Amino acid sequence: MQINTNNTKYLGLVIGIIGLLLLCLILPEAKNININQIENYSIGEMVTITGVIKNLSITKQNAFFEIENNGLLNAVYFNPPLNQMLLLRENEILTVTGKITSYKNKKELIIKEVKKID
Amino acid sequence: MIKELLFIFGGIITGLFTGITPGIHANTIAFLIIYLPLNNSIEIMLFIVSMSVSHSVVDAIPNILLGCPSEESFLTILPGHQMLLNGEGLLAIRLTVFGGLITGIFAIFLFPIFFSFAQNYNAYFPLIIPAILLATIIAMILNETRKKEAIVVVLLSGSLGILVLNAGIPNAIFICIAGFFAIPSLLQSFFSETKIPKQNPPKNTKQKIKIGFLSALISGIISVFPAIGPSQAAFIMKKTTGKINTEEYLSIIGGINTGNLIFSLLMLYTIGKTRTGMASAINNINEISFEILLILICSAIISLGFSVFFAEAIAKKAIIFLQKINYKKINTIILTFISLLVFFTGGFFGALACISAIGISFFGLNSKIKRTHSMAFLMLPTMLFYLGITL
Repeated sequence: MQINTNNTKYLGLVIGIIGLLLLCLILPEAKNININQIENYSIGEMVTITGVIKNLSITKQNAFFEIENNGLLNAVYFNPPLNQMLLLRENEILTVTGKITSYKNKKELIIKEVKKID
Repeated sequence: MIKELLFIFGGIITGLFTGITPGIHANTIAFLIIYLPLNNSIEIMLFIVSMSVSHSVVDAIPNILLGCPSEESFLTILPGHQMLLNGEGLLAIRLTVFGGLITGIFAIFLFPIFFSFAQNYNAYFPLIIPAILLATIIAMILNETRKKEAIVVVLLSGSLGILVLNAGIPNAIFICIAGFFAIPSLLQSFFSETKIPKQNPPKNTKQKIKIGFLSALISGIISVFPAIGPSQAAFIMKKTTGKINTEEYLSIIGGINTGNLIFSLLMLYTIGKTRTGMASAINNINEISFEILLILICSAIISLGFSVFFAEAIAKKAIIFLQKINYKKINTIILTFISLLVFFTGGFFGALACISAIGISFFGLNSKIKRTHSMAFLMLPTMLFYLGITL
C-alpha cells in the first residue's frame, strides 16, 4: 500500500485536528469546589480548591498539608518540583488542583499543581 | 482547555523557530524553561513536548538546505544535500517530513507492544545493550570495502568519545556532533563553491506505508536501547529488509527522529529512563502519570500534524531566501556561529576535542568510508558503561 507524498500537508492537518479532538476528550476539566462539597464528588475526579494551607509538613520531598475552605481536607503533593515547593507556606492562600482519593476511609487530595491566586 | 492549547501552539511556534535556526536546539529552550519560576507544570510539559516534536519535523530544512545538522538528524545531510544540488531539495524535505508524520502515527499504535516489552524485560537491557552495540559496529565494518580505514575511524572516534564524555566537558555530545558531522560538511561545502541551484517543484512521489511502520518499529527499538542512533538503525533496517533507495532512506531518518521522541515519553513513563533531551526536561518538572502521558501524546499528535502542515511553506520561503543571498556567506556565518558555540560552551578542551573530531572525520572522508562510523564516539562509551567499565 502506498501514499502519495503530495498529500503530506493535508494529512498533517487532519492528524493535527484528530489530536485536538483527542485532547478535548482526554483533558480532565478540574471543577472549582468548596471543601464542604467534596462528598458530592467521586474518587478519581479532578477538582480545584482555593483555601488556606494548614499544618504543612515536608517529609522525604513530599508535602503533606490541610486545605481550609468551609472545612478541612487532607492533601498530599508527592515530589513537587522546586518552583511548586516554594509556593507552599503555612497560612498561604493558594489554589490547588488534584485528584480525589481515599485514605483510611477519608477523602483526600493528591495534588497535581498549586498556584498563587492571581 | 484554552490555556493548554495556548501552551501547545506556543510550543509548536517555538519548535518551528528552533528547528529552522541552526545551532539553537529545542532542548536548550526546554532546559531554560524548567528553571523559570513558572508553576503550571502540566502546561510547561505540553509546551516542551509540542516544541520538541515540531523542532524534529522542521529541522530537516537547515539540514538539507545548509548542510547544518542537529544532534538527532545529521544523517539527512548527505542524501538530502545531494538532492538539493540536483534541484530536488523540496522533495527531500517533503520526504523527510512525510516520514516523521507517518512514523508518528504508527508509533502511537505500537505503544502497547513497547510498553509491555519495556515493563517485562527492563531488567535484561543492561545485558543486551553492549552485545547489540558490538554486533552493530562489527556489521558496519564488515559492510565497508575499506575495512582497515573503517576500523581506524571506529577506534579513534570511540577513544575520543570515551575521553570527551568522561572529561566533564559541558555539551560534550553537541561538540562531538559538531566536530564529526557539522563542521566537516560546512567546510566541504565552503571549499566546493556550492551554490543552491534552481529548485524544482516536488515531483509526484508515492511512499510505501510499510516504511512508516518499519521506522516506528526502529524508533521503538532505539528508545529501548540507548546509543543506537538513526544511522545504525537504518543500517540494520537496510540489511534486514533489502535495498532502501534515497527517498525511502530520507523518510526513514525523518521518521526515526520523530518516532524516537514519541517513544521517549513512553520509556519515561514505563521505566523512568530519559532517552531524549525532551524526556529529561519533563522528568525534571514532575513525575508523569498515565493521564499525563495521554495528554502529552495528544500534544505530540497536534504538534506533529500542524508542524507538518507548515513545513513545506517554511521550506519554500527558506529556499527563496537562500537563493537571493550569498550561500558561501551564510556557510561562513553558520561555521563561525557553531565554532563559537563550541568554544563558549565547551571551553578550550571542548574546542580541542572538536578539532580532533574534525581531523578524524576528514580522514574518513578522504578514505571514502561512510561517515556513520564516527558514531562510535557514542557507541563505545555506552558499551563500556553497560559493561561496568569505568576509565
